[in-house]
Amino acid sequence: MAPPVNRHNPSIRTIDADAKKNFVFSGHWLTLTISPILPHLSKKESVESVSVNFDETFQCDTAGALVIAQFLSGLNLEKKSIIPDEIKSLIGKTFSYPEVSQSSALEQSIEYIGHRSFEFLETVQSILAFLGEAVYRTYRTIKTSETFRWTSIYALIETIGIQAIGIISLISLLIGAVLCFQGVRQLEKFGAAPFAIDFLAVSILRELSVLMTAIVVAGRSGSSFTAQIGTMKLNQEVDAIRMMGLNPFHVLVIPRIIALIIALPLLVLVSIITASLGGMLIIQATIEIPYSEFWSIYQNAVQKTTFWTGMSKAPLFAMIIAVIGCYRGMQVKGSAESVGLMTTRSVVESIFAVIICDAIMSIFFTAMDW
Amino acid sequence: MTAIVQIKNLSTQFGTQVVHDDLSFDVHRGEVLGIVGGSGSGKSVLMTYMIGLLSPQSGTITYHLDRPFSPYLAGVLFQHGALISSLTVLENIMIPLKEVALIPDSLARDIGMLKIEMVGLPLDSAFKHPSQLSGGMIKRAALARALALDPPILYLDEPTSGLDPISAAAFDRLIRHLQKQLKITVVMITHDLDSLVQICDRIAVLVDKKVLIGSLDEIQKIEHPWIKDYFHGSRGERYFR
Repeated sequence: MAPPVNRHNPSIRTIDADAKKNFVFSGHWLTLTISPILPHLSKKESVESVSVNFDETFQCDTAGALVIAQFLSGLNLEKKSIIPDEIKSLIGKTFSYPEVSQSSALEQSIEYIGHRSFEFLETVQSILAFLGEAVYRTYRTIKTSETFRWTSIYALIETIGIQAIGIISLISLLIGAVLCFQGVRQLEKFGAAPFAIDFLAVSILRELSVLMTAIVVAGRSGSSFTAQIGTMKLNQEVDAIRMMGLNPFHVLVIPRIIALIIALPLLVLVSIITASLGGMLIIQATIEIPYSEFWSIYQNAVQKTTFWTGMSKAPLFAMIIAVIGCYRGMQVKGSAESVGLMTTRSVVESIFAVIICDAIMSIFFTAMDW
Repeated sequence: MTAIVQIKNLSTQFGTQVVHDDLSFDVHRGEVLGIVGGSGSGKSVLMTYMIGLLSPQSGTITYHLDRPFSPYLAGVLFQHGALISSLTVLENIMIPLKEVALIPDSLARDIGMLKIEMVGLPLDSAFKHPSQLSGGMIKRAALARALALDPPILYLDEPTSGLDPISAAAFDRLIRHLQKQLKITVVMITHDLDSLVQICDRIAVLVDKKVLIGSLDEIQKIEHPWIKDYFHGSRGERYFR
């Protein structure tokens, strides 16, 4: 490492002579060395006339010139003082900045709420339009006996479905175990501990498996749909697909919707099985009901409709996740920031939509006594 | 001529592919050095070594500055601008001023505006995000950011690629003008013959894993098939007939 040579910190000296001020600038007024001197320049004395000198060690760059020019611009300079051109040209220079709006916090929050409400309505409208186009395109594909892109559908099923089996199984196993554990603890007080099995069977089959799987898949695959399609959009790949005479909907969106509609119900099935296994292990460990008896109680607790009410939600949730994921991907424009923003929205909105739909369907199925 | 950067015995190898074989050359203080070479001849890799993003596999790169070399002492105009997309142009320029030079906000803002004016951008583009700018404006904005700390040496990676001939010529003039005004050293990678002829003092040609360096006249007299093709092909002819 070379030792620093020729490093002079910027300095300013004042010499009072004949009732007028004389400023002498010396040292290196460079961007990287200038910050220590700034506090010394702030105070401005109103002096009749001022002469300025630059000694032989003086050097400056753009920032230094601007600082000196701003310092000098308030002062009454003597005509004869010699000032380097780069400083002289900056004296009196000001920039205008757009004014920051000074509205009150209340106004701002009302404006914010209004803005967001309209945005929400617009989003709902355009997602519905997107959904409509997706359904229409799928229908057209089937009707005109055009083939689906099965190669990409298979590849997507592998990444969405098969590669998610591990995480879904693990989460379901733990949830099943936790449900039984807590159920047994509470029901024991009434001497009804074995009813934890009924509790597990109904809640897993009707609600929890499909909801959990949908949320994991929304986080795992919905986000990747958005990021992938969004990046393709930024790279103009989507435009290229269109210009090759293909339809981006047909190439990108429909395979994802179909793949997810196939993969999600299968994942739900995996989730139901592993959650029940988790429950089984805990029941055996806590209240010592043998495995065979566990399954007979389990079967008595549920009917066919219990399974189908849960399972019927899976394709719908798959549709929601895929449509929102692809829609948000297509919305990306401009920059990397937009990819991040849209991915966040995609995950938040699809989880939100999934939970809303689940609540509505849960009420409906219960009212129908299924 | 004193050297500002000295490159000695630089060699690079990726797998079995040798890219640079024992390169040695100097960059002189205050010159505009153009680096040319075919695709894959290692121009960009050489630049990443010179700006200190990577350290060379073998050989040394020495800077002769009045302080130890640090990345912020080299201004870099990346090929696609590389402006931070979540910030406005002005904020992009203010970051190094505020974070590295520790300059207070209001002064940093004025310096930023001055740089924007220097590179010939309209002042209202200071408050725009990079995605709202055209290709030529992005290059200018990126140049303003590269100059934010008034670096002693400026690296340009294909500054005129993707610009129309008129903007490219204007950009060349701007670089030459700023180089004279700020008295800095410029190293530019380019494919643009116009830039080479108009603004480069010396040219370094990367061929056959070696470097040939000299003034334009010296270089084009060298008998080498690539150099002949480059300067005397259909594109070069209008200058060197």
